[in-house]
Amino acid sequence: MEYVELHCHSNYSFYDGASFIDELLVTAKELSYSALALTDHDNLCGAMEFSHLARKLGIKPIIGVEITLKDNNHLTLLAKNDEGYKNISRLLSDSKMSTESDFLPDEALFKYKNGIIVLSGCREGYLNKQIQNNNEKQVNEFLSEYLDVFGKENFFVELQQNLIKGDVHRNKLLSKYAKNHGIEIVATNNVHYHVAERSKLQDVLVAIKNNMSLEECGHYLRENNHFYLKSPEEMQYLFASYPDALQNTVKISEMCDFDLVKNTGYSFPDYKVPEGYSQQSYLEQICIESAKRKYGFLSAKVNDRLLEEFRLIQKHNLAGFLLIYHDIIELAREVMIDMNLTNIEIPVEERSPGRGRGSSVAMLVGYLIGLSHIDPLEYGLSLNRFLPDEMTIVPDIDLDFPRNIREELIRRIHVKWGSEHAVLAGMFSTYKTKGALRDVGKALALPTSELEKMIKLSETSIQSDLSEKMLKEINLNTQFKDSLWIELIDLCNEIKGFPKYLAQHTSGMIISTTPINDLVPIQPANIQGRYICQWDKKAIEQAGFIKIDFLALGTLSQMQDILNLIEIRTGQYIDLTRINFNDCNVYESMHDGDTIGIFQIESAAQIQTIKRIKPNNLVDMAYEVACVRPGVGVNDGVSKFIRRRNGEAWQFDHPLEESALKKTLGVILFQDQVNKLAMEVGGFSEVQADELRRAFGWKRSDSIINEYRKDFISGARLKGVNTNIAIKIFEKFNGQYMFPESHAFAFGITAYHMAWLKYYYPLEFYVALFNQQPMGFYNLETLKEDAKRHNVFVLNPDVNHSNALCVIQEGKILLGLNNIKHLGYSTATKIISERNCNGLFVNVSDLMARTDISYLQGKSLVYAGALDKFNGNRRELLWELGIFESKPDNQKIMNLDFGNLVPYLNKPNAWVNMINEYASLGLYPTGHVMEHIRKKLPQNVLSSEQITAHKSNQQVKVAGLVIRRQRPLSKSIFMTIEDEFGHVPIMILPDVYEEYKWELSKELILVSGLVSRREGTFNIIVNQVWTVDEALKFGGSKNWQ
Amino acid sequence: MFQDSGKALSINQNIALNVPIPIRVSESNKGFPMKVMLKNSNNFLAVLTIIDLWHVHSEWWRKNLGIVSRMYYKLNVDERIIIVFKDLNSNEWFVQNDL
Repeated sequence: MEYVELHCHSNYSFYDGASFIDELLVTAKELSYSALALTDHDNLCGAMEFSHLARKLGIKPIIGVEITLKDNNHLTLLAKNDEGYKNISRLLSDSKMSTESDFLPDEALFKYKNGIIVLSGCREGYLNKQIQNNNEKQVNEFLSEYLDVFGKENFFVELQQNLIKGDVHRNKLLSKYAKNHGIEIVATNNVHYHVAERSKLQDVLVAIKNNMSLEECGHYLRENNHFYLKSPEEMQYLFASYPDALQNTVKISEMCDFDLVKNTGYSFPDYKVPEGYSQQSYLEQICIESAKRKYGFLSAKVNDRLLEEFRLIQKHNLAGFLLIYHDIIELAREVMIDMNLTNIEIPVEERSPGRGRGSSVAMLVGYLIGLSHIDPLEYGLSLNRFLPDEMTIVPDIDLDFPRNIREELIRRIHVKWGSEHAVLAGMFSTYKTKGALRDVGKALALPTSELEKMIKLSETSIQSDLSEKMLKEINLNTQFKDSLWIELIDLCNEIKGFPKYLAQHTSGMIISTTPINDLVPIQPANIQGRYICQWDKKAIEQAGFIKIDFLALGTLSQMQDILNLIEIRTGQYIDLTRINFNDCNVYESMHDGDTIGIFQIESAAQIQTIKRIKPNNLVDMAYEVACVRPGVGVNDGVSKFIRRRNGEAWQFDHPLEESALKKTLGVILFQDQVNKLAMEVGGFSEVQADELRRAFGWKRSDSIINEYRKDFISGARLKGVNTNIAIKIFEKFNGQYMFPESHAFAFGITAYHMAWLKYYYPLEFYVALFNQQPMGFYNLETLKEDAKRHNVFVLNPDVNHSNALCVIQEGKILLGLNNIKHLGYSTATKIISERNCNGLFVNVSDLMARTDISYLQGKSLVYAGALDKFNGNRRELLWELGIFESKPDNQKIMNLDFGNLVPYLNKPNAWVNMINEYASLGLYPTGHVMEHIRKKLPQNVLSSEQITAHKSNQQVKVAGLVIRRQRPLSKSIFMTIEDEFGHVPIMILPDVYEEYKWELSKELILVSGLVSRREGTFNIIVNQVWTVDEALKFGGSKNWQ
Repeated sequence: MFQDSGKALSINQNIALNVPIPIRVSESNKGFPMKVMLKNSNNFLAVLTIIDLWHVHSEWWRKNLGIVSRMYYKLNVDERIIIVFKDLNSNEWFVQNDL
């Protein structure tokens, strides 16, 4: 007996489905299903993932939806064919875009009837509700109407037997009515999870959705656990009286002939060109004009390259695609002009608003139309990766923009193309450990205080250890005596990764000539005027859509600011595409690890690596940038690569690896090398190899990876590679992130640009860096210390001279009023505007009377030193300010000149001023906390400067402010402490961390440990920790888990 | 008129309503009820039809009380409609009308 489940929810039903798609499909495979339908509530979010995975497992995917109509009535729809899929997508889009009601009237469904098979729905369907209420007339009208609209072959009465009270009777009546109307019946199990045991999680999800505890949920919960994927035998037993209901499941599955993997209906975007041009000829003209501007004339080299690129663009029909990018760049340029960031005279290729980061940087056409910032001819970049002769997948072009430009650009693109043709990619917010503990714990009604303890534990533990640690905690402490705590651990492990809601992806956008709602449902985003589709980036990629990534890159905003500041100060206009890329001074500064504030090379790990790689050209920069990615570190790749680069002997595991891994010395540094290795060793096709690489990046892809592993080994065997070697090579692949080669190249160049600017224009570099905060790895205090080491000094803000943001004043950085806590940008601009209109402020009363700032804001100004020009004694300033402390809200402030009336008060000492400056500004402009503390520390506590002279294995003591805590994939903790001279990286092994967890959570610490200098790295391996002063609160570190 | 009992009302005096009553049931091989012996009766009565059946499986989070897992049957017994259930934790049968 065969059975096909036609009503099945995954966790994309958001809080009403308790299994991942892969769990459902793998179970379906175990139960020998030939097909399975996915019918999530009101969305197609999982449709693409479902189709791909089902196809891989040899199960026919049927795409459907359980739609919610007027009065909250459910109905099951299945896509019979291409038109049916489009209609479901349009229907869902209409439903989401409608402003009138959350639910659609029947007429909307009837409008999109073609190609859809309708099942009459679950217990929440209109038909069942009428039967329940004995409304015979309504039952008959419903059946007649639907039969009339959809036809006998496309409309079925749905029977469900989940052993719920009333099922037997209802099925009898449904069957009777169906027979009377000549409608066929079909059995479904309204599946909400793949196995019965998952019903607990389903209950918990319902409780979370309703914001209740399980105890409070009552009738919201299902009565039993029979909503799992049942075997054909179980279904046969339950529907013994209705054999045709079972047979019809197979019949319907055979009627459904739509494969989303093969047919998304997507076509490349078209571009309207001026009369007399084709898309190709128009693109060629734009490029030739730009080349003449850029190079002065068309040299043979430029001409040959352009001809080759034009040929490939024509072959792959990409002219429209590139012209759309060109349009976007032009649109971004208009934004820049409107923001006074460039002027109409400067050609786009000279000051491009964005810059490519993918393989597109290798394309001369990209350089000429403003997509890329690199002249590929100058650096000999090969075109193969982006535009191969045999192209199977259209590559994305990722564009980085300064933050402010990106926001406005997205708005203008929506206006230009409309929501039918331009939408943002969706993104699923998913459950992580902390959220899972909180939500599940609440559903289980566990006491909040204990729950917070568990959450705290999760923050200081790594994932693999967490369950074990929680169990230990539960066993040790009597407060966790309730066995529901054990349940909590299991349920949290199950819920992790579950989608919580559909949100807007930060950068991805689809532009399509075909209306997008024919391809995937669309809906308004939370930000007005923006629209998102129901697929995330992975599904969009699987669908083969051309996706544009508009990424907001703080470093580009910083770069733009630096160039403007240089132009203002020196009148010099810098074209970063034409600077010297082989500047020894710049590379030497990197060899010294002087890279704080520089994009991609500023973290402690990146600094350690750059000192060992010692880049001397842009290719080395690409290696450096690529190295510090989690995927490279998995198999000790970074150290291996550096050792081999420094001369260590090595050999390939098999000669077939050579073409893929030769240039990176047998180590996989780039994503592209995974593809190449799979092709060269495993005999994969280009498409298979790319699928393999992508599969490694998916969550929960074990079953798929296992299939690829088998294919790889058998393919390798055919190429004469023995099984053990093939396994060894396959194990080099991993799911952690790596850069594509061209991406690393593009980022390497951006990093070089920033290093060059830091070296030659440090003042502008730091001003822009301060103004673009928050960005990068370090807080302002650390950046200020780094600036000091470059002779760039920071001045406290001044209420009469500061702008809202930082500015250059006499070769120093004058902090902005926006840097002062409690002020904010709008108050800062109000103060400045009043100052500009009515002159400088003369004293505290004058300031308070003219600006209407609060007492708290005034106090913050005093603490920041912004009123020092009124009176150098901040305690007296506070006294003056005190009169405004309890001012009634509407009372007008009198402008009083206290003059000699201010009592004489002692000046606060330097320590007090420092503490207040940290509190108000997050930094201490004129010094460092350790300057004060060092005087009180024992003599044997060394400074970061002194420690440079110490050799490996020497025991030392150092103290400082913690500026970084990081826990990478390894179990050890890496931290950096800062003193008045520089930084000291420290490493804490897990057992030491357990012992000194509390001390290590403090801002100022003193550690004792062994110096470790290994392969060019430097660390203190900590064995003892003390807090320096736990009572003080300084600018916090940035912490990463 | 009701006579005042003189007793104070108390919110702590909960009275369980519709408490299930244990009964004896003879089951088929597949576990369906075939005959039932009702309270105050010494004879087994034959089940004429199983009108409806349903499974309740819930309250798994009430660890101190145990999961409620019951298989309910609505039966025609001797021309009377009764509801019985088998407690799947204890395998005992009960009758419970008024559901």
